[in-house]
Amino acid sequence: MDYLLLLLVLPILFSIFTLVSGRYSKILSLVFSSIMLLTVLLFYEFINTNFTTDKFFGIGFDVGLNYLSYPLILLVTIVVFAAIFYQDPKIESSYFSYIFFLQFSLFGVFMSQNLFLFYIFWELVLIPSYFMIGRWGGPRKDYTALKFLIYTHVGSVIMLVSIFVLAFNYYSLNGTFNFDYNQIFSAMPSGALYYLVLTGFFLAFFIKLPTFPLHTWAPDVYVESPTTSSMIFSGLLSKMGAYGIFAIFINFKDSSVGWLILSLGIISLIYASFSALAQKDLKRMVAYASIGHMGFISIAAGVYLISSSELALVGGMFMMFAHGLIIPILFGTVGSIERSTGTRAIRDLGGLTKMMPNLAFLMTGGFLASLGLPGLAGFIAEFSVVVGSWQAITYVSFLIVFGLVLSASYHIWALQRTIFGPYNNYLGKIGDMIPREFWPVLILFLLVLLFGIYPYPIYHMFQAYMGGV
Amino acid sequence: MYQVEEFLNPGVLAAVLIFLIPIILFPIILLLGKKFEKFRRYSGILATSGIFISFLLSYYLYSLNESFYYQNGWFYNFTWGVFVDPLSIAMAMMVSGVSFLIHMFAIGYMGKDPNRHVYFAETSLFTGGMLGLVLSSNMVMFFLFWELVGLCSYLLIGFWWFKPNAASAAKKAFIVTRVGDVLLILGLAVLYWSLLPVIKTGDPLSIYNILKYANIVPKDQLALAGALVLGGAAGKSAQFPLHVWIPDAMEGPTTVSALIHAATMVTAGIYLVARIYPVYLYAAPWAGYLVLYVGAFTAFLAGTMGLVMNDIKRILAYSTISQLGYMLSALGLGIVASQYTISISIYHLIVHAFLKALLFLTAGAILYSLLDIRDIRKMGGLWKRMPITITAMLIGALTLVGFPPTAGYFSKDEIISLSYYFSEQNPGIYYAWILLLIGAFLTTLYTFRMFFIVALGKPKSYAAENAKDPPWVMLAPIVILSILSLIYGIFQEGFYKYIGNFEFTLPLYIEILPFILVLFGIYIAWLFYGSSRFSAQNFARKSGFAYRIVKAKYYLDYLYTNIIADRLIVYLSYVVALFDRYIVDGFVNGIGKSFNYLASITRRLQTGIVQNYATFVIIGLIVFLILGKIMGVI
Amino acid sequence: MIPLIYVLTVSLMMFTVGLYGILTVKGGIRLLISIEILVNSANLNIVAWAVNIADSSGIMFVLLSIAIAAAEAAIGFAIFVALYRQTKGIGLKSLMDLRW
Repeated sequence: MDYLLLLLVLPILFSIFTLVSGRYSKILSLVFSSIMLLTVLLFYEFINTNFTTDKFFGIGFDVGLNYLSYPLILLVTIVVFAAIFYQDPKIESSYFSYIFFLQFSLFGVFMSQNLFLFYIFWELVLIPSYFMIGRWGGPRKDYTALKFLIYTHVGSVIMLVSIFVLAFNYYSLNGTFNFDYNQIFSAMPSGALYYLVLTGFFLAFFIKLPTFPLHTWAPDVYVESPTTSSMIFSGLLSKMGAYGIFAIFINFKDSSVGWLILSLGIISLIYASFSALAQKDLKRMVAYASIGHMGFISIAAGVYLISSSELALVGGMFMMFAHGLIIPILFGTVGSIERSTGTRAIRDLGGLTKMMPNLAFLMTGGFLASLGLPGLAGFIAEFSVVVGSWQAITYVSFLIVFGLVLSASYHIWALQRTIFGPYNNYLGKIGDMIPREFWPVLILFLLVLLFGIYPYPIYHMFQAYMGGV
Repeated sequence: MYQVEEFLNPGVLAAVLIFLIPIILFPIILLLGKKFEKFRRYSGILATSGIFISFLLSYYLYSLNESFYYQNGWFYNFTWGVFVDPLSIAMAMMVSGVSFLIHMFAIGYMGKDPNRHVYFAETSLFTGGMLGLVLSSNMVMFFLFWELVGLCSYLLIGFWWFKPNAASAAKKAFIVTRVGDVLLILGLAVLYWSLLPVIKTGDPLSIYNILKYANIVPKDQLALAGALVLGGAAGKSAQFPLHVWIPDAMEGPTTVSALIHAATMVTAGIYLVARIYPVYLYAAPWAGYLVLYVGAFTAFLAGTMGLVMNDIKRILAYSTISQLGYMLSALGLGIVASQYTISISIYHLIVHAFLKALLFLTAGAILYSLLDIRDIRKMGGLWKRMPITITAMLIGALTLVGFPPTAGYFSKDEIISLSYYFSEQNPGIYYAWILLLIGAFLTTLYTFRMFFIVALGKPKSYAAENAKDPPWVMLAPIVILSILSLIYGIFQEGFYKYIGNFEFTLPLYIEILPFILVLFGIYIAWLFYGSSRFSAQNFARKSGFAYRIVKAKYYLDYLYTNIIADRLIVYLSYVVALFDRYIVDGFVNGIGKSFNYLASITRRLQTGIVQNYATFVIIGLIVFLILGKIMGVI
Repeated sequence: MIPLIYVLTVSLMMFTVGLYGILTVKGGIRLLISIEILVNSANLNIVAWAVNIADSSGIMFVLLSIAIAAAEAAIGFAIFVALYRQTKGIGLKSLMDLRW
């Protein structure tokens, strides 16, 4: 279907237009992202269609939309819309341009059906992100941007090696080159090469997710980026890694690999929760919260590899979607606090409900969603994962729920120290959330509430994907 | 019990509306109160009316006299819907009725608090959540409402959020109940996998399926599930060892304590065990003994702690914990003896709801009148000054201790008698009977200690001297609850038949025993606190060590807060955070630094002196030639 | 006749001297002298072989080579004059700007 190309062409066009729009860049971007949102919603009927071209040594521009990528594309459009809405208009127009370029490359990652093309888009993501951190970031932006670039790039390059090992193995078996997702994995090598391929994909996806022990770029990146960049990075870039796991890594049907990523996921969850508990900077705490959530995805994938528990895997997929909506809420509220009070240090905050009631409402809602309160989208995911994994790992589940309790602790403790309690009068008179901050975060929260009560639309898409696989 | 297919069935609609109406009122009251200041006066009335409608609807369900359920797809295998049977109807009527009365009281109690619309919105949400909990047809839906009421409890305990004690108490409540909740999730996971092979396609966690197929599942799995679920119930219903949050929860407004921490939310745990009763019935025996002894031990333990508290609300809080232990024991007794004793437990639950709400509301009236003094040592002589209120308190106290003919006698003493009855056939239950019996004695002691100090003697503070009865809007619910406490005993037989009964008889001297203990207890309380014959201070000083342990709540709180939370977890988190920053991240940075170092060495080859370059070229050429010669290429 | 090998040996020794000179001298003029020695050693080598094989085309080549060497020396001097104008010396030590 040629229409699928529209999804790729539009963001590039928007990117170019916003580059030259100067003062009107935010309004223009807002219009563009709404158009994008409508388009994606309309494209629901194009699910399970493909667009292919002729192959040059197996490499072709093959894109398609399936039940796994559609919710992610929808998520990307929603979060980009919210981030643009939230963004301070007094920024260079190239910022919006980078956002659209990022959207383009993310769409490419989620839509490509050809492993080589996937790799190209995967790497393309690094360009706008490097600039978004490096130009508009906080005090340590140079170090952080470089760290992010090199760290993720190293993983990706080894993935490239894996891709070529697979391709050449396929060639030696079948006589032609073929990079198509579904077919290339029939040519899995054995022995030492198998471990090489495994390592390549493992590094690329689990660095991006991020998972312990490859996660240390994330706290710096999420903290040093401007608020809207944090929303986009933690909400969307991590989903690249998750998508890679669910679409590609699942092909390694090896239960020892499953135990490995299960353990890493559990360690991630507990480790990140402990870390979050000790943070003094509110934004850094939220960054560790994000890392903890992504631990669930590792757990879900691991359980699936061990026991083919569909409930757990679909739960992990739903966690992608839910987390992608929840984390921007958290970063958005922290950003509001930063703008309004001038500080992110938890000990300087307290009793913010007095001056910022709207913020108190949204922050409480966001934190409760983040810890998995039922009625909000995060619970559906966590519940599916915990229940789905009991059969496979029984008593190890106690570790997972220990992580849940820890997670609840730091969230509630943070709420108690910042929103509740006596008001810190040294802050003086401060303003509440301004409309450009309030409305996008509210919309995201309402979506989280909607999908917590009625998860069926997105949930059944993931189920349908699993039905096919 | 039959399944209703369509949603528009009047019974199904009524059931859904019962919990939906108060929940919908939450955003309505909140937004209207935020935008229009004038509206705030009416927020209480709006909330109360909504709950009254729910009460009428639940009476309608009762009048239908049918048991049915309705379910609809939700996500994955799970369904949502309503499950209507005598148990859920009885709970629904109790929740909506008691909540209605407490809301009425709250209209007066909250007075002109600027945030009262938030209060009523949250209590409305809470009531709706509780009603949804008792009417839900699927355990996941049940859990959703379970957490919803937990959320409202958190918000309402911390209602006066600017008080640091309140904010801290809310946090504690949330985290302790969260520990219970995750155990509940695990219990549901065990149930899910146990029932899945039996049910294949369908919802393994729907209540209908659980009740129907529990007897097919292997005993050990049921026991494990039951124990984990009990953990959840212990968290919500404040049983040992997760009882520590309720005393702190008294920082919230008294009407919150009445509604949530006496009558409704804390009973959710008991309802949970009652709801999935067959799981315990067919489980391995150790699950039943666990339920029984957790309940009995808590009943006893909390009773001892109620004796040494000076805050009127805390005394009532420990009393609640103790009585919840009785309810849980009643269920446990039935499980161990393989009988259905749900009716006995739930009857006490309802009677306790009445009397505890009554006691808390009278405490609220006292606080209202005495300008928020909660220390009973500053009260005294209130009977003359607040006659209606204190008379109601007396009625509540008598009901609590089980003095005939109040309803308490028909409910609590029945449990104690039941435990003796079963212990004849099953000697393992004997200790439970002892614990419950002593608990009854302790109940009398602390209740009448409270009553005598508060009601009699001379007022010990200025506020106490000038106390008077509260306005009628607050007195009316108190009076209604008193009447209910007095006469509800009539309904015992009807109630037992309604829910499913179990009958037994005992020789008279055993049945009278609790009553004799009650009389004895009142006498002793009178000696210590009513008259000046004995001094409680001297007794406390003489018992020294024992007194200190009990007063410190057996150091359990100390263990949780100071040792586990403050020391263990917080220190661990610092260690982890430092480890992450300096070791893991240091490793990453270290790689970068080592490459930098390598580079700084190797780049010294670029000396800038052409002759060096030329030398390298010559050397390279020579090496190349030699190698070529060796390898036979040249 | 002088044996070929003697001439070739002399040529080799001159080549070594010239190479060593290029790689290690510090003065500009000495560098030019070393280059001349190097070129001349190659010339000598070719002439020796030409005489040996009695083919005169080699000697033609050598004549060309001498001319080129002369031109190259001239250019070398021109560079050194420019260098002198810049740095008032012609030591090669000052030409180290493109270093790490």
